[in-house]
Amino acid sequence: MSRLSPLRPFYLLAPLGLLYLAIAGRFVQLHAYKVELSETYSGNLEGESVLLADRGRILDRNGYPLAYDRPSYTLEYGYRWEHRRYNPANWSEGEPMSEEQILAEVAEVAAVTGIDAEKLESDLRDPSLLLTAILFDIDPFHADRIRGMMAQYPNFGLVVREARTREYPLGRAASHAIGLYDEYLEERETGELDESGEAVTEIALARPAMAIESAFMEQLTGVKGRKESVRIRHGINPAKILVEPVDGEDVLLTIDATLQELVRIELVRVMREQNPEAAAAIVLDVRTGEILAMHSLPDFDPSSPSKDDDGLGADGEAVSLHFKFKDPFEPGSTFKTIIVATALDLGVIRPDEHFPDGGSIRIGPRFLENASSVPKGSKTAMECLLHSSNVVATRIAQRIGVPRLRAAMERIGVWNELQLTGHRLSPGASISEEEWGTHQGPVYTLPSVSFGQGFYINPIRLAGLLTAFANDGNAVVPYLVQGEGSEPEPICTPASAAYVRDAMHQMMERQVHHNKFLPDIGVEAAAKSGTARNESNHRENTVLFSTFAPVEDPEVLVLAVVYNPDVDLIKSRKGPSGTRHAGPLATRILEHALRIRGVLPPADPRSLESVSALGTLKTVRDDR
Amino acid sequence: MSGRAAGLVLLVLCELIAGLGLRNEALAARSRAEAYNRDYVEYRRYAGHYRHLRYSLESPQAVRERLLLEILRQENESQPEL
Repeated sequence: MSRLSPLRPFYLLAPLGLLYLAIAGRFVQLHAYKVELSETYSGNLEGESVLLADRGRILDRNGYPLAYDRPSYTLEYGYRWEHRRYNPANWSEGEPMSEEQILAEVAEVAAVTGIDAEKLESDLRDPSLLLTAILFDIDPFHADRIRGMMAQYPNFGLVVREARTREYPLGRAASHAIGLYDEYLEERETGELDESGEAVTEIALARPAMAIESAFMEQLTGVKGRKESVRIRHGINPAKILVEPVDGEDVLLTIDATLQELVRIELVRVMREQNPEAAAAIVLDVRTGEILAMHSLPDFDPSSPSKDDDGLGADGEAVSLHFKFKDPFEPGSTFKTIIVATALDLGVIRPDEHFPDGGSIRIGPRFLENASSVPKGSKTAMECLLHSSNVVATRIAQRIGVPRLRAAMERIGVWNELQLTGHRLSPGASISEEEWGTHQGPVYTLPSVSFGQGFYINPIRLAGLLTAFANDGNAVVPYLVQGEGSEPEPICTPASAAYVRDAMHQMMERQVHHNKFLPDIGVEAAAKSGTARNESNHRENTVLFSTFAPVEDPEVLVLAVVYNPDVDLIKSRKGPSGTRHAGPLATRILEHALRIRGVLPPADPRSLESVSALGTLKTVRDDR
Repeated sequence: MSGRAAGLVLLVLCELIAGLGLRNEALAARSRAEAYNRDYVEYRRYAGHYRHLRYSLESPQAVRERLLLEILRQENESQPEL
């Protein structure tokens, strides 16, 4: 029996040990030296990708999206010419690709992508065309078809890249309220010069934004994810590093999408009928101050805000990025309501007191006149509001006197800056010390203020103040983003508010049933019109109309303004009037709002107005 | 080969097999997770697209256009045939 070699176990174990070491070494190589690995595989099999995050949505009060991101794809030429299928350097010497083969392959892909085959073929053989996008906004189904087709031809030279498209379902209708957002790469000059003296440029991400899209930039912006993986030819290869993307947070507005759309329809109607410079409207919840809709025309398409040489957008409509209600204006006779309420609260007039009104009044060196439609004869404060008498309003303001009127306007906060998120509103210039204090005060300033001229107030602020007459003297502070509401501000007593509301109710009844200037919407409403007229230039008139309903238990208030309407002076010899030129607009918007709120019953389903009767759209809020 | 040596060989073999097996399982598990993750990402893209389609159908403008079409259709139907 021969003695076994003492090294025999070593001989047996050595191959196994070597195998073990080889496998362990391979694992270390795979997972620790990725650079070396990528070099081994020509850098083509090591992948790092960015995982896109959705920008947060902007939702209306019912969860309907006013802005959201949708996945889309772009088709680009790949960035590596050296790997491209039609690069002759990649063809094995024995099997060069024939022209027919190339044309046949390209024709198949061209048929799926919809790109011209000849162009595609010449582009793919052009080494300079790298990272150039040829198709945008491809939907996922189409992208999958393109990918599937190209998978048959490795290194085809086209890349389907994932992107996000910001979508605005209401289009122009919500443009001023929510603004816009876009992002793209642009070439910028760094401000430095290179050796040859030319400006150095860099590719930077541009992110233009406006209004809500800009104000909530941080909240809406998501955080991109990242994935690094080893790509081996077969099977699914696990990610080495995976950082999930985090979508941006949603922003909830107080806007009602359906009403917003209807407000724009009505504004468009006014623009067509009266050809004004601009028209604007706002709808408020009189109890909370929530802005249910606000818009002005001209507006813009958030997806394509640029305009051509004619000032028109791609859709042929006028373009303006400026929201008209950011500018202050003269409130006209709507301000008489505040004057009367102030006088009643100060006790300087009695509700049943009559003031003489001969159609004009002499104040110092000048005469103030009523509009020609105002009947002559003494009037109570209520009749002053009903007929919109400048003479009686001036007399009431004289009773108040300059110091008390000035103090009241400051207490009410006529020129308080209104913080509307995303919108920088101009509060208007307050009346100067000189205008109040010198001899101008009682002669010019006081009478002008009494009928809302000679000073400027922001329209949204005015709408908020007018809610006091629908809300027992408490003026709400308008707001646009849910959760930002604040307590109403008392500006007059409930008794004064009720008095003014009665006058506004009578005014509305008169215009609907007696003068028939306004449509009967089937609900008791209260209203006050206003006109700020430039006597020297009849093209410069601002007409406005504010209305709220139902009178017994008000829910919504509408303020509609038409800027410089092109009035046919043959038909309207008295020039533009708040009731006739802004009244129908405000009344129709009020009707839409009341149908949406369920105050009015649904209309005939065959009429356009019935759209509002559908109510707000039901959308599950957290369905992403 | 002594029993001790044979035991050692067996132990090394077991270690090797167990080590490779566990490693393989770990890779397989990560690959499954990766596969699910890719499915999830794909699902999200399609869900985003379907959501976009639904929003488009529900938008007030789309609702209005459908209503107007319905009105036109009814009016056409009410016309006597020529």
